[in-house]
Amino acid sequence: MTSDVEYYVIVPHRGPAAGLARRTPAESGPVDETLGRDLTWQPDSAIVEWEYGDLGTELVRISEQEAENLTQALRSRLRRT
Amino acid sequence: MLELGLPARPAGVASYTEPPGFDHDEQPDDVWPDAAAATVNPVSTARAASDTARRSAAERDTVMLPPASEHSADAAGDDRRNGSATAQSPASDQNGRGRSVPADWQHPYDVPGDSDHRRDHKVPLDRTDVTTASWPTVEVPPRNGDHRNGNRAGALRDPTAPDGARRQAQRSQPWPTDPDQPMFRPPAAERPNRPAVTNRLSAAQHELVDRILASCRAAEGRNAVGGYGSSGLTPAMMRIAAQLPFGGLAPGSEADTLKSADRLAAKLARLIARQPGRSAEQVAAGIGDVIRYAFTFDSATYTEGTLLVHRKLKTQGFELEARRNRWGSPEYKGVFTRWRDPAHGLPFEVQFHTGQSWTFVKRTHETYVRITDPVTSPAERANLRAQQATAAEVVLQPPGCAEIDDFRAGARGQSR
Repeated sequence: MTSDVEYYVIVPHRGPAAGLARRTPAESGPVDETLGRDLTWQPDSAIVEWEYGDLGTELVRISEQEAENLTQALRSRLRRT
Repeated sequence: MLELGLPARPAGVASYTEPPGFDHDEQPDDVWPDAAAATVNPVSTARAASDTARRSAAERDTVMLPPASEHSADAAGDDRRNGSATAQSPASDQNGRGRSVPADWQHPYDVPGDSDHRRDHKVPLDRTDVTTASWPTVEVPPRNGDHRNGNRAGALRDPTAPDGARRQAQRSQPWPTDPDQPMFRPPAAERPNRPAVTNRLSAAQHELVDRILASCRAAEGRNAVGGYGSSGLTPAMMRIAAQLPFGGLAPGSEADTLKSADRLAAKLARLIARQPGRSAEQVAAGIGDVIRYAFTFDSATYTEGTLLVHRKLKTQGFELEARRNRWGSPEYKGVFTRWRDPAHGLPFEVQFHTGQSWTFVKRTHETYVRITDPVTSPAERANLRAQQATAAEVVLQPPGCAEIDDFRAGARGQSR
């Protein structure tokens, strides 16, 4: 069973991936969130800002598994710092 | 002795300047997302093979972007050669961008050595649609309507406001695409559950905001008495505008060239929260619209004028970092570009509009602010986006605008 949730990696102009965003379909309208520094999903507008022409970061669509891998990598990194 | 506005970095702002490849200073295992990034997407995976010769093993498994001097042609070419799929982005374009360029196509402003106009830099695009068309339209209730207390937005909306107040408000209209513009923020009492994002910043981060603004203020070129000499970004933009055979700086745009401290703090707080893989300094270095300009042209000269300004900016030594053609967007139209001023090491933004699209973004600014507010509910955002799409139907695409490609300097992962 495939998820309808869309995942995106947030890539800045320079440097490695900086964060994760996701869009979850809902009856009232898509729910947009980003992964916060506490590694919980929080409401955010990163995706819609991108859709409106924001130039600060690039959003690249990834799979749910890739998003999970990135989350684990981030968790490991934050644990070290 | 340096005058204000000369292209020199003031003391204490060095940390804002973004050194190329600053992430290379990090230990390999400290570069998020580590090995997990090897499976990020087909683009990065395919590209990793072609980058092997010039990257260490540790770097190869990250989503690291190469220095800006490395052109996206490498990435695009690698993608094509490897037959990799184009990564998807959240929105789509419908203006035909991303198609193959005819072999005999010659860029009208091809400049020798101007890598941006090489046709092999065409950015592959996806066709994922933003589903806004079926959303119902709602009316946006007016807010902050009282103009008598210096409320410029209120003066604009209030038909009973004195002509002088309305004229003054029109002259000082905020930058239309700035979601952090405080004048359109409703009073806190209207949004009791919405956090004051600027309060999330630490004292050190507020100092960072001050340093960014000091750096940008020096680069922008305004002197101590509010005027301009011959040096700085704004005088350069004015010279470029004066040289144009048609079009020019967008009416009213120059009044808000520099982002305010409050707006910058709000934006920094928002970006820090959503980019856990970066330090506050790295996030701050990526903010490219602290200094911003807009040019407008009539529809017939839009494409030619936009490309002409590009050429003039490059002639002045500015470096194009990114460009997004949003004329295919159902909701928000124009060409948005990000440049770097090598003299100051700072990015800045330049938008390109027709008179019609510029009027549209100004008129719908409040809706835009609410759509891009992180705490706007999904239902409200959906309704506002439908309203925006409906309103945008009257904004006509200028002829030939599809020739203006998306671009990202040094990108390894072209997603549009």
